[in-house]
Amino acid sequence: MRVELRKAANIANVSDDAERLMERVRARDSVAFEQLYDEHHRIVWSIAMRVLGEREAAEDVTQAVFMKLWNAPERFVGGNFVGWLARVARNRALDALRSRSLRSTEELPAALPEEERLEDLAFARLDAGQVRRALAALPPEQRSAIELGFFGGLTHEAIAARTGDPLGTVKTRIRSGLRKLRTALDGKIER
Amino acid sequence: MSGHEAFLDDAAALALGALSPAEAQRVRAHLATCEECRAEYAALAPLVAAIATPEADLAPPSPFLRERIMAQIAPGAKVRSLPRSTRAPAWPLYLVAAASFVAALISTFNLAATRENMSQMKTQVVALQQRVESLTHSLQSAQMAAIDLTSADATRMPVHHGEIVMRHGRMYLAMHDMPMPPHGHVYQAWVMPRGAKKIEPSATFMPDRDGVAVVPIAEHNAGSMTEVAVSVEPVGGSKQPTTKPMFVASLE
Repeated sequence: MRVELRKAANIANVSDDAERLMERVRARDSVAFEQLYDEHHRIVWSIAMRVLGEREAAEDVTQAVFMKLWNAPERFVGGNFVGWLARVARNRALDALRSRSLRSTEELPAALPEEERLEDLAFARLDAGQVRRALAALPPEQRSAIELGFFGGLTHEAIAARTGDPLGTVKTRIRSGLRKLRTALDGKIER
Repeated sequence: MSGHEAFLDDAAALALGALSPAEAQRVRAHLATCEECRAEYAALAPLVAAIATPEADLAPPSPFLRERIMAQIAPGAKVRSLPRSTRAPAWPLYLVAAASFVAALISTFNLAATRENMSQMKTQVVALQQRVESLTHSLQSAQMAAIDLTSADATRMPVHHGEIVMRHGRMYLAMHDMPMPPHGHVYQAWVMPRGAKKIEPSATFMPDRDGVAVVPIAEHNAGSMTEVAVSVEPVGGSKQPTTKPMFVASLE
């Protein structure tokens, strides 16, 4: 019950912050847009750098993501703003990989849905240090599979081909790692 | 592993974005009919925000990236949002870089300009053009502005809360210790072109948390400006100043 109450409070806070700012962005409020940029550009930048590996391309992706946010704010339908932004950033970075002809469309995984509302907002309130420690606590093979899938833009089959592990093992590592991460972060929220 | 356990694993891979488009479609079709897998997906999908948490030692992007993005949404963005290829010739380093790419292209064509290779070469040209644009972007914002702002031969004019920096036709406002404007307001720069009858709107901007703002004002025609001013205006900017400017600097 305590966890649920805490989560509910966090959800309300994040929802208020992001949705209020996004509502102002929809009304063409550039100050709200600047605040969103200042608070959230690092996660976009981080994803773009991890996926693309070079600053110029990552800056282009970061710029494209925030211009999309400004030009089409209605694409955010509410919920976990950071999660939505991370999906948009990852999709845009994979688009950049395609346009550079480094990988074919068939080799890259499906885009993460951007129109989907992610209801779990509590993670957005966690301190980045707590999240990093939770990630670092994962078994290396699970963390590696998750990072190859998210930042490497690899399907689970491609991960299996790269690591030499059976496909079923890779699938299980991804799910086990995500569940451990979920449990670890739930514990942080409770405190 | 049971058949359904495999679907739960697939739901996790879908949440991570690690399925091919065809697999994603297949798993989504299953989620539509399976509450347990749908719940697993819903529990794990928000974790992308945690996975994407920046590493502590990640170097930040260029501070000029922020200026570039904000310039694109500013009221005067018509000038600033021209396609990169039309803005680029103002920058000498760009020309050097572009010339290198063109030389590389010519060399490549000389080596293998056979008919069957033309299609592939065209693809390479497009890729290289995109690379040139990307390079232009970076050179323009980061290198040139950084050089201009720190150059000993730049002309500097102290103003309230900062200085006007001019070099080779380019002009910037380099501001510090600026207070945040009232809620719903921004700072707006103004310029008076030589021969104009009234002051013209330029970029709107906000200082960062430390009160610092670097604002590009002119890309090539700083010499044609006779005055620069800054005032506080409503969000979105104004066509004419609506408050007393915090400073009006004569460049003559």
